[in-house]
Amino acid sequence: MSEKKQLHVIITTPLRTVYDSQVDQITVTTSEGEITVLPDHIPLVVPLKVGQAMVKKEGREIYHAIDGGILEVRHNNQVVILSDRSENASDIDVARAEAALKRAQILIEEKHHEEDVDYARVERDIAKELNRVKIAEKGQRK
Amino acid sequence: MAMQTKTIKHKMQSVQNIGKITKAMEMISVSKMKKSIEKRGASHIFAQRSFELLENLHIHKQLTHPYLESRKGTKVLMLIIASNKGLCGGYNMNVSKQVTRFVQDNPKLVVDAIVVGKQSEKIAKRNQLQVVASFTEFSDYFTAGEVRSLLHAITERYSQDESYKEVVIAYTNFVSSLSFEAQVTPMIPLQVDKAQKLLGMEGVSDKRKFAQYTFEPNEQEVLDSVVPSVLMTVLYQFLLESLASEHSARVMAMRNASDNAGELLEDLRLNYNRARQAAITQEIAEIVGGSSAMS
Repeated sequence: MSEKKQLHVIITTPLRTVYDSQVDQITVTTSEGEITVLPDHIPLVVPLKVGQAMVKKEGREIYHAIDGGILEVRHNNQVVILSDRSENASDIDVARAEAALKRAQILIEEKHHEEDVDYARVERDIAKELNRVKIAEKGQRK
Repeated sequence: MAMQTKTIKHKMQSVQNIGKITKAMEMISVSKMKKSIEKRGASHIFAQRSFELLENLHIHKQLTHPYLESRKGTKVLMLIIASNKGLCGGYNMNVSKQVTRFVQDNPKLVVDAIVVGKQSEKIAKRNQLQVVASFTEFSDYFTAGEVRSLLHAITERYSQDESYKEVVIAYTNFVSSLSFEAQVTPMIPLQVDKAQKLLGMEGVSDKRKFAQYTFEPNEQEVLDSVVPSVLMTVLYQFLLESLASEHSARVMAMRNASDNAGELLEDLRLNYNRARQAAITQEIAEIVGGSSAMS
């Protein structure tokens, strides 16, 4: 088989670069729905929702949790994901993510009649933690 | 005489204790400095990519966004970044000097301040600026959420009040662990090339022709999410620059203090020995004098 074209994927956050590698394809959750990027994709910029980034490399699937961000596909088969926070599935501390999830849910239940809870924010937190737990499980399954 | 040696001994003890404390503080600051420099480096890649993205968007089409355009106005919103704690040499004073200079250079502008750190509250007061928001709970390990709330405070004020001409940041640029300089620099309207230069990231993006980008769902929406994210990055980076400078300044200040304590101790020891010698000599003289009077 001739040299197969690959994507150079970089997933980076303000704290660190989470992933930097050559891969066969990447699937991400964008604001418009899930898309898969293959080599020689046209240049594209699209915002990401809280969700996952799954890269396929040599037949293996590697999952990352993404707390929203921006996906940029460049013309030379470079894919850059700029995210506020992202983790590899194997790095996610499930216990901690679940604890955070529980905390947020309790906050919503307890303060149901209080006005000072920023519902939108807590709900966003819940979505993020749920996403994290989900992706960690996905990573363990394989 | 015995009294004098005792007081000197006492002084020596306290100088020694202070020296120990400053030494310990120096060690703590060294480790904090290392960490903050590391952090500063870690977010560089992210910042660089964000800048490149914005620049790529710029090349392909002249896009407009409220935070990219210059405005006319009579007011300036100034973000002052200084430390929460003192004992860091001239770090805060240098920021203060730059703020004063900016106010003097722009006598026609009304400057409102948003402050980060307890010391910058004082700086604002000293320069008679009105403080519109104060963030003094930032620790050394500030989170993205905290930075976002700070950015929110800035952008909200800026977009609601049309009379604000621009947003500037008074911060300390980290050059190396031995040199850093306080400066005032514009933040909004965002100038990509300037910000890049300030953060030492210029010359990375080549000016080759970029293929036309596809935007989903549409250009404006993409830009609306890219620009705040770049602003956030810039702000985050500025905070890290300041943090790294603060710790380096403290390392230097504490090292100087420890050195001075050492010198002082040497002087006191010399004095102590002299006083002790004098006391002994006098005692011998008294004994000799006494015995010669008896015989």
